[in-house]
Amino acid sequence: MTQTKIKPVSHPFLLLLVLIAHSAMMLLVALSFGVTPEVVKLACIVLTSDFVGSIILQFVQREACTVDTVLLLVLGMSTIYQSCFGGLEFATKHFAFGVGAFLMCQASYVVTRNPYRAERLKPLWYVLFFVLIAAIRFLTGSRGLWIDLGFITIQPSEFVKPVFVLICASSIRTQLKKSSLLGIHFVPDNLLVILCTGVIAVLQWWCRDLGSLPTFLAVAGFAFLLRFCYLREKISVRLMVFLILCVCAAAVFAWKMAPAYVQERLHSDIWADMSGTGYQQVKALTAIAEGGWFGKGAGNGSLVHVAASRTDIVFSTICEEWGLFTAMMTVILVLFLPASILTVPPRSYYHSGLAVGVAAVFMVQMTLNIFGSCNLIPFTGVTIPFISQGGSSMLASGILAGFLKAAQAPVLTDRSAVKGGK
Amino acid sequence: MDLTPLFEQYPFLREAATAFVVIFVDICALVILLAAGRERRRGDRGWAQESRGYMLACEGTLYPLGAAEILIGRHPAADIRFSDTEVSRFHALLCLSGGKWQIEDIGAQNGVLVNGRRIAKPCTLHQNDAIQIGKHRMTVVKGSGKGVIE
Repeated sequence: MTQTKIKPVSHPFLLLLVLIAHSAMMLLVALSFGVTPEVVKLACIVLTSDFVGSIILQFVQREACTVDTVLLLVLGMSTIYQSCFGGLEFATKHFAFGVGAFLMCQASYVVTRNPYRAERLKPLWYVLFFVLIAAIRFLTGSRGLWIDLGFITIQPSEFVKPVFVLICASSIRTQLKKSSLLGIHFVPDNLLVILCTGVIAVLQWWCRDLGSLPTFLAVAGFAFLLRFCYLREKISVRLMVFLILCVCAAAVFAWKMAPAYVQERLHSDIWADMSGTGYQQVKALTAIAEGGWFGKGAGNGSLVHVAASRTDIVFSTICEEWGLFTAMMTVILVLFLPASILTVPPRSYYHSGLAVGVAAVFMVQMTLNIFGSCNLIPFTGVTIPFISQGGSSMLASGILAGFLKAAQAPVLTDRSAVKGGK
Repeated sequence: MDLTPLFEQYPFLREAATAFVVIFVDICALVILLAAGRERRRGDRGWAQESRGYMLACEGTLYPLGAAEILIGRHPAADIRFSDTEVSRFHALLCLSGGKWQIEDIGAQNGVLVNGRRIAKPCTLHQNDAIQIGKHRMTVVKGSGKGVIE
């Protein structure tokens, strides 16, 4: 079948918007630091990377340019933030991982743009999942989540997230394949998802790091919700009430059965121990208040001296230096990535599953990070995708963004199905 | 060029500059959002091309094929749902691949008939092909984007 090429949305125009937005931010940096060689260096690198990124996009599929454009915008903003916290110093490592995330996005798009092929590769995703789980169990330090290679540390649990999203997504065809054991009918794919979720829960419990568990549970939960609601919103009220009650019961059970250190965090009063356990959150809250609507100015913050200011409490650090308006705008822009799927709905159910999984990861992680900074929940150590410092998280987020792009610009060719024609 | 003394003398200047930048970046984001709306229209056109604009006409109703997998059956979750018992809960699956629509019998008790023949394996559909699901007869038609049968 011959297809006429559809003219893509004017990509140079969108790139121009990204360049202008970054230039405006650099203007603010220049107003804070003056026009110094460091400021010029930062501006040149950010604007050149925008330009080079857009050239790369010319050679890759350009159908879903919304995801690419927002990704370029967010990565540039993130580099500017991380370079300016507490004084101007170009965040080389963060920038390098940002470039890596952008390339990962394109690579994961190429791998998953064909939903039929991506689903046929599911055995490979399972193997990858268990390899990563084994790496966490045997290669990390004592009950830790990091693998220290000397020159670099890797957090394999971050890479489990995109693999788990790939596992949780499913097509109708897969859901129709049922097996029977002792008279009980079940879908093998669903059983494997439950098994993988259980493995993650046990491992996180063993590692004494339950921070990422809500993210994985959200991915699995939304995947099953999508399975119940398949195709149409025909889910019955009775089933919905039952599911909500199950979730509430599980939450109460988890609350009661949480380990002692979690219980302590849940019930601790940060204002009663401002220099002890509540130190970080008190500082984070104070920084948000001191920053006000428009911030103290890039590089003028003091929160940078507190541990995890660039990762776990990065929202507060942005609030302090750039103001609540800019921090909110950044959050909205990151959320805009999964929300972009609402404008161009996926055409295959496997891609719908991927998009829902990515949305769950991004939303839960941002909620945990921001609510932790605002003392609404205890600290979880979860990052804000693309904004927080951290190579593994950045690369994993890039892979997830590639899934969104795949859902928007799919290639629907199933070679095995074409062979079985009339 | 150090503007710090100026900002110290006139603090509102920093706030004004920040507000300007935030509003500016917001406008950029808004325009990108509008571009996404345009991408949707382009996506719809692309889908019409990819799916050949095929629809199923059945007893005066036109069913657009809006996804790469369309489930036909008696189950409440089916895309095209028939409530009579001659239709199985999960009766047939329509799949798009490489610009071709294929129909597959997914374990229906009464089978799927294409142009009067019961199918045993996935069958590629063409314009004006007749599909029989239970007592329901559907025809593959080509519609324009506005749902008008050509």
